[in-house]
Amino acid sequence: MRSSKYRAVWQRFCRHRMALVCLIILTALILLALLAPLIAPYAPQKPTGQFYQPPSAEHILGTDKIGRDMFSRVLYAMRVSLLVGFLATTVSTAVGVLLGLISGYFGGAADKIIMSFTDMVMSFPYILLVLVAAAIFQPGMWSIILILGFVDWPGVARLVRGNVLSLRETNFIKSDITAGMPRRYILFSEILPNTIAPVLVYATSVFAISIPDEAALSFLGMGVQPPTPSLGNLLNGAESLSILTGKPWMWVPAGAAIVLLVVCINFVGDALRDAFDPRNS
Amino acid sequence: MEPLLQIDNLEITFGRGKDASRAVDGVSFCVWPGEVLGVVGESGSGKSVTALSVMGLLSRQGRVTGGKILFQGKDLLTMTPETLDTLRGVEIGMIFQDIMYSLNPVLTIGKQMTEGMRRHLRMDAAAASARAVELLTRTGIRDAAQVMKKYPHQLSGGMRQRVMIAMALACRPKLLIADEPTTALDVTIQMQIMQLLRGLQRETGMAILLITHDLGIVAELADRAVVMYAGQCVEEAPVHELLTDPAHAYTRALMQAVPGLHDSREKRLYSIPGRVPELYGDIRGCRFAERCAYAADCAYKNDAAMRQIAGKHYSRCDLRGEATLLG
Repeated sequence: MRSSKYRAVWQRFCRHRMALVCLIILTALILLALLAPLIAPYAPQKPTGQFYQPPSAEHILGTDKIGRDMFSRVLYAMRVSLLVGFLATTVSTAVGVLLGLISGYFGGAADKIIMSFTDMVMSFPYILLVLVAAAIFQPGMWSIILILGFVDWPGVARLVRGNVLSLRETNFIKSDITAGMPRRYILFSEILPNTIAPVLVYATSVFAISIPDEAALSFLGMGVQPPTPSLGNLLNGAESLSILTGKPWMWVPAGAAIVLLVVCINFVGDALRDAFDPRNS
Repeated sequence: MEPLLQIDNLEITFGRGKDASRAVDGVSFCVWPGEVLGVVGESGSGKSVTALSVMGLLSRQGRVTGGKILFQGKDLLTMTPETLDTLRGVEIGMIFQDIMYSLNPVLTIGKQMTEGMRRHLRMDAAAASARAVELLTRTGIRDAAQVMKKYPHQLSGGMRQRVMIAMALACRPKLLIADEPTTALDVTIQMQIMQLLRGLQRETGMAILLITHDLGIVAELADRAVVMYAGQCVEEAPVHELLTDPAHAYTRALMQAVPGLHDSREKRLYSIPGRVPELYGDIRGCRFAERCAYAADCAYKNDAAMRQIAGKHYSRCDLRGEATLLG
């Protein structure tokens, strides 16, 4: 019976041709990233050839300034960037869902405090907040995950709060109360499952934002630190004009990977939103 | 005998300060063990709010500002939520009018039915699910075991209301509060659900507090009825007496507003002129006077206190035996 509901969701998803294509590309990119240790021809952090070599049979995407294989580095960079994006999204979604649930269900003072805090976080110039935080904490993969997680939750919190406010007035929540069910059960077993679909859709867009955010931070040197490759710090090499104009293999693959990832995630998220909406059947 | 539920001089106020308006103003009635008490009234008469306050379900704006709600002698209004939770769902069950959102759309019927039993009756999953199937079968659902695996959107309105009833009865409550239980259903299904409630009530001996705007349902199901108007009880009587010999002008008007099957089509159906006044807290004397056909030479207009007019018959005015006046 559950499967029939998800089959309907899948059917509606498939109506978006573009999203289907994007889903395939996305799956392929994620597989490439996951299987990087098996696919990559060279270790990503070891010089294995001449520096600044253009693409050749040996190094299909050429080599960088100290002779590391670019193809291997891009694969590993995608791995890092996807991990950062995924974990940052998980952190911000978890924080947002929890605060949204509390704020919406309990209302009163808790709601006021949480929502004022949410507005405060939202009103900060976003990139500035990230830069300040990155400057205070030791830059690195884990701190960037926490930083991005912290700035991305307000949207989720508001979304969940709004949902909870309308769910609270429904009779099935009232009948849970009349059935003497404890609050914990009502919040997590009755209300939470009803907010999963919109949260999932929203989380895809947060995911799509966190990837370029990570890239921006790493590009500015505040994110993932070399020699660990990430899509952002690979682009860092393109700061110099001679590389930008004369050595496209240094930055085109990483840039293309970011664009592909972001575009695909957005299309998939869009289709998911339509697919989860039963009014589209 | 002690009443099961005793509502005593209940006052419910919405809003605060200048905006405050009293939705329920000094309502008192009892539900005796094993009886079906119908509470009848138009929208805005305060009947649903009264029922919700018994369950502690008033929305944020509304609050009880006076009176008592005693269940088996204990005041529900002064109880802690934890103590209340040992009564709600166990001793008192409730079913709602709205069949669309009375069941959680993302959980299976089985999950929703068994959760309360596992909690309140300390049953294990298998025992709870066996009892759920038994209850569903008792409410007239065929293939109960199949229905347990379904989601609410896969059931019809009548089926959902049966599930709701089965859920409310899971812990064998002594009192069932039914807030417009058949209003959202087709007439044929309405009939089936009423017969089901009647049958279950006889079988289990539970009391039912039936909130409705439909005199037909009261006639069908209730033993006794309370008529509410503008936040007050205006008449209380055994159903037979109320229907054959109504004393209050409002009850009489309500009865004229019920279409008869044999009325000629040319005859215009009577409707009570005007509507329930919005701010009825300030009205002195009879609150129905401005819509009342008998108001011109009425002895009760200024002193409309509830009084006993016959054995178990109470009313704020007494028009028994008067000729019908159309307004």
